[in-house]
Amino acid sequence: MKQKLNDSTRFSKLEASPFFANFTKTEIKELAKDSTAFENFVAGSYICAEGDLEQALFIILSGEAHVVKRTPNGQTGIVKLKTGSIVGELSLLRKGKRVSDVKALKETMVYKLTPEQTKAKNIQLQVKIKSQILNLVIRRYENLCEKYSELLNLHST
Amino acid sequence: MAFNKKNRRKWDRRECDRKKPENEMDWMNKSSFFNSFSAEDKSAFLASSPDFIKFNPGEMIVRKGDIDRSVYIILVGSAKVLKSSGRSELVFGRLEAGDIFGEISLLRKGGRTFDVKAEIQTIVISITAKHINSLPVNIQSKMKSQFLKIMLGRFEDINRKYTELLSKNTFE
Repeated sequence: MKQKLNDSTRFSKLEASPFFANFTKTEIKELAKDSTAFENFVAGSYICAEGDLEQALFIILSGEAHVVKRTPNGQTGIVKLKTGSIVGELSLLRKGKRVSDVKALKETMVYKLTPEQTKAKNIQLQVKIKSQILNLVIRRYENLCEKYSELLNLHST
Repeated sequence: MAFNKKNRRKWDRRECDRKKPENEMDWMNKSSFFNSFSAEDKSAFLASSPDFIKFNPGEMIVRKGDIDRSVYIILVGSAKVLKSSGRSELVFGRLEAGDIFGEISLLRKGGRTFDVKAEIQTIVISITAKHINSLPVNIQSKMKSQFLKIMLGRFEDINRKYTELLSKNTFE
């Protein structure tokens, strides 16, 4: 659901998110101008659903969400996403269907970034956004490498 | 750009050939990493004097524990990512031309977590986060986009391998 927020509330929401911790006030102000990027989800609703074709990345500004995978026995939670996390980053790689559901665990506000919205920002801001997403992806990759390495060791022994 | 002398002592690059390739622009033109770069972008990147390093087959490009703030772009050749496990070496992955490694140095200081060994003659660009951030902003943007694309692909790949191994583990 699109959320009608005034300028200062939008600014505060972005400023409070760890994702934007390294952004200047001017940059946050610029990002806050886009009122259409703010969306609010009530507990239990879907931020995105498996099979969706939408190409957008979501930055969680407040609340909490769960990445869930559909199985024959129901839904299995894969990972919990908190404030500052991103979701839907694979859509930056290519157009395609979403591979998981993302469900709000409580009231959750996101900042939605489509490739078009990102390109509309000035290039300095684009670099900052890309850098922050890159940092999160590297961290996520590093964590998964560790888990994979442990499992690989377990298999080889 | 010269390597930091303090760091260089910690590296084991005694045997690597640090001579610059005959034509750096040619190597960049051949590398898929620079596909989205215009001729002007590539010239501007070269003007910033990044390090080009050549490794012979079997040479270590990085060793686990090395303190090194560079990210590496493979222009030509291929390398294996190795993880020591007791006496044995596990091949964790394989890197080819156009790929990157050492990306964690973009995040923080710290030791390398894997060994990376050249499989065949391999030419890499070694570049620090500080160097990238000093490049013209349009080139920074293209480099970050390319890093992001590679890392997302790699994340997707490891996620698939992990899930497969996990289900193998569960059902065995």
